[in-house]
Amino acid sequence: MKKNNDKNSLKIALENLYQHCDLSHLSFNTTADMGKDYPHLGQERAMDALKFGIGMKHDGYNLFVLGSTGLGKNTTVKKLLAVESVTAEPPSDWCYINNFSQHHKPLILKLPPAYGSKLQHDMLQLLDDLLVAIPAAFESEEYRTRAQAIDDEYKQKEISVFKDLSDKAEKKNIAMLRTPGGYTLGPVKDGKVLSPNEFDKLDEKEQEEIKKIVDEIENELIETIHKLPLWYKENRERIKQLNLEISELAVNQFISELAEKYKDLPEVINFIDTVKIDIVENVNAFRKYGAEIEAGSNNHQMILSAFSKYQVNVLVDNSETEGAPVIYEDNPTYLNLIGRIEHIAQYGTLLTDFTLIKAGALHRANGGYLVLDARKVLMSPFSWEGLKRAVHSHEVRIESLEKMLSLASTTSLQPEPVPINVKVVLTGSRLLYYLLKQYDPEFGLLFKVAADFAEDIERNDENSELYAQLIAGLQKENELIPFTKNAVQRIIEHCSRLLEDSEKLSLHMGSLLDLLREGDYWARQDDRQEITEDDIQKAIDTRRYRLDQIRERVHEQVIRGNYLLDTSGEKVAQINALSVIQLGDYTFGRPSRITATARLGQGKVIDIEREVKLGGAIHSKGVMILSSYLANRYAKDQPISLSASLVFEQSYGFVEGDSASAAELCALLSALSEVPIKQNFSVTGSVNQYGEIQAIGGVNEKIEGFFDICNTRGLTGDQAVVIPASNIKHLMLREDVRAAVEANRFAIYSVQTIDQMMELLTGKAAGIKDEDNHYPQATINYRVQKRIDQLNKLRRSFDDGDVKKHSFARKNEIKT
Amino acid sequence: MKSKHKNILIVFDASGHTTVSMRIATELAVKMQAGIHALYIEDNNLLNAVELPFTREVSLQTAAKSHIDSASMMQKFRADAENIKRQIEEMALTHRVSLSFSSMRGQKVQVIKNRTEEVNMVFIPATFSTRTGKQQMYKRHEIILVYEDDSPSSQKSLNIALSQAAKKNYQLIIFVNTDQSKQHVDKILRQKGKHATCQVADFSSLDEVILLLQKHTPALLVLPDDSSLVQDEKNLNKLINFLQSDILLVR
Repeated sequence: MKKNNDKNSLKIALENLYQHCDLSHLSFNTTADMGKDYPHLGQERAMDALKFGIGMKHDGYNLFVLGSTGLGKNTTVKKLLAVESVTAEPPSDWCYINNFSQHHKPLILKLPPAYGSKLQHDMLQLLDDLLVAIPAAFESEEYRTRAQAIDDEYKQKEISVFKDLSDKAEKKNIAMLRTPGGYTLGPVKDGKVLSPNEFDKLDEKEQEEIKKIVDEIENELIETIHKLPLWYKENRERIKQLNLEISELAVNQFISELAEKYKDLPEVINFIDTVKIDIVENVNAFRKYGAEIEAGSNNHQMILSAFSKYQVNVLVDNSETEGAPVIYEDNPTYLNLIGRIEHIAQYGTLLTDFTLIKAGALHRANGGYLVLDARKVLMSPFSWEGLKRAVHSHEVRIESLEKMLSLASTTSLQPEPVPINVKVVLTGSRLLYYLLKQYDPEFGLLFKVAADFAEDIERNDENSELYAQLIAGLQKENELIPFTKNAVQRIIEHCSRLLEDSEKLSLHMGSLLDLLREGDYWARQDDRQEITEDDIQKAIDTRRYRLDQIRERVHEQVIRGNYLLDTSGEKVAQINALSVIQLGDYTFGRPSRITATARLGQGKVIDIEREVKLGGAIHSKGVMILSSYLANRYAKDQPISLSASLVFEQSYGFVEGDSASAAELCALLSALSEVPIKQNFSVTGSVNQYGEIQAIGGVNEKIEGFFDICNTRGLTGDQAVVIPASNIKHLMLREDVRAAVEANRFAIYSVQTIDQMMELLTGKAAGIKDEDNHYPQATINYRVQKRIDQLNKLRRSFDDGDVKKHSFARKNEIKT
Repeated sequence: MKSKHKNILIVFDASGHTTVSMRIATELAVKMQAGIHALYIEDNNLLNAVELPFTREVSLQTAAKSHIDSASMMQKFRADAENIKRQIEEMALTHRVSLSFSSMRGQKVQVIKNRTEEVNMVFIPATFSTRTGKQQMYKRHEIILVYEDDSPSSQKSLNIALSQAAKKNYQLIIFVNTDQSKQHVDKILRQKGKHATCQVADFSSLDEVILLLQKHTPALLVLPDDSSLVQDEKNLNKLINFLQSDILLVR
């Protein structure tokens, strides 16, 4: 066994258990003394990437801002874009107008900023004016006279042709008689049509003459009737021409004014010309509705909706936009991104037209920036594909989902696509970024710039000072009361603890801001004008308290003896291992008992957690490493005839991680050597095949978890935790733990090898092989080696069928 | 038959009619607090004509020629009469006007002449010698009154024409045959505070008058039953067949 001096050398010094922050060299008393500007601490790489991505105007240089939630990605992007966008020219307005040749394919109209709403207003005004002017023109004496003249001319022509024919027939003693469907002809004598008898009495010649005349007149009648549609058409054409002339007179004065106003915009002029032609062609509608208005109809809105085809649907109005637009779409559904075609219900039917086309975020962000949460985009059906399609093709094509999925075959609108020039900024987790990169071939082409936000920065004097500036800036930005210097120091220390690393500072702005706000709350509760260290501590403690119920219950179970855990005495093959339980963003340590058994077998260490599928892959890997370790150290030249079982006692949930592998190895070595392990120790650490102890996570919580149990039961002074030496830099322990260590009522040891750990746990020397490749007698390794050799012999004797002999021999060996 | 109550006789035949005419007649009946007797005339001349072996009907819509006999013409008469009856009954019910309906065989003008004595007014709905007549009818905003002398029937006619024009906001044109009559009518108009256009026309040439009327083709032509224009059956027949206006004969 090694000497006590060696044991003490493994004890971690008090100053290494916590790294205090010292800002005494800074001149401020409270953060009120500091400026409001704060640096983008530790995010230089991300900032450079963002600036690069924003500056690059080529295709595909869209950004993916990656990093965990709460790093301040959105805030940083927002601030940066606000600066970058302000100098840009405001983008164009976009409007949808009717396509007069294909109504189901509305046209897009690009206008200078603020012109969209102007044109919309002017078109409504035009409608108002024409609804008065056109009916007035058609009510004019001039129009009536001219129309009447055309009608009269036609009427006279039509009547006279029948009358002439009737007169002609009459002269030849033939009557032209109206029937319900047309005309019939009959011979007349004394004003009466001859009856058949009277006709029969006529001589044959007369009869033939009558028939001949009837035939002639009939043919003329037919000829006349054939002419009627042509005359009628001619009449309608003349009336139409007159209407056209009158309409143009009425419409021209208003259209000319409008055209003059937009003379510099050829597309608008083109639209106005098309509108003019359509109005002139459909002038009767203006006459009808104009008459209604004149008659006092108060349904002006309904009347205007009848002329919706002349209106302008302002899809994007940039009249009040300063610089390039920066759009944040919190709910990036397909429709919210791409836009939608809405419908109105009318008499049980859904109707739509171009005025019901609504813009999506891509339209609003056209000429600027669109910031989206990548996860939300991916979670919204079809949004990701829609976004990629738009970014790739530089145009937004509004297409209803039901049509896209072929769920509806009804005719719907096919609006002309809107050309877009948008810089898309996606924010999301690192995992999401790499998954997209791996599985979506288009992603890399469209999002070429990754702005990777750092999770932490090195904790040194310079960065601590910058961190203090950050706290001061956030305090002012969020209108919190000032923080004292001690409070700032405590915050910085806590930010190290959040990271589980005394040499690092967390850049998690969300957590930091929460702490600042909660500190502010507690200071205000006590009517203080400054936030002190106590307020920060209270914020930390109360936050822990709010989430602490489960930890208390687990702790209680141990104290009440429901979970078996010894904190004193010695036991063979039994060890206290430290694990952490993570519940959301709250983590606490829980000591667990691990036991091991060893017997004759075929070199397999059974992980019972794995056997029942309660062990994760990493945990299983840790256990399998143990087999390798045993074989490598104790049975290099022979098969190892050992079967061992390891179990987390009273563990009913999933176990993951390899931080208990060192503890498991210790239990196994104890089982093999039959050297008892001190139960006042609890250990953590993973082990490799060579017995080196490796760093683990959650070291602070693990230590505090065991400390809390010991503290409740009563600290004896020999209770301790053994951790990997590489974890010392992660220590940021609670004050009560540090106080107990300072008072020698609790200890924390660090080890680098499994031998060091076994020596601490058993108080016996591990043993190093001598020149003859033998471990010194009575050492742990000697006993382990011996036992493995025995098992090998026993195995061989099984193979030879001489079990009894070797069984007896083993009994004697153990006694020695 | 002469009733104590006022009566309006409406005469229909196979010439084709519109519900507009029926409505005018019905509204007139309401105004006059009169009952309506609708009479459908199955024209003897037409029946004689279709019994002749060589007679054909020429369709006004398609100009197609087809053979027609008396049986099928009777069927057409019945169907036409039934249709008219249904329409006018509906109209009378809406306006709460008493209505009787009958059919008879005869010659239209003769029947009108014979029955004028029995009623206060005879309403002859417009017939359409042309295919587009019905369409044109809806556009007319004129009433024409022929005022020849100061007879009671002329005065009644004037009152009715004025009231119809005012009610429908139509322009009333009054044709008189002498300057004296014009002065007289103008005076009446001034007294009544009404506005109408009064024109002097030469009534000696009936053909000219008919042409003048045809040029206007008013919505309603009001004639006193003693007007010289309707004394000759031939002229009345021409008016009915080629004017394409509703005609009201007032006693």
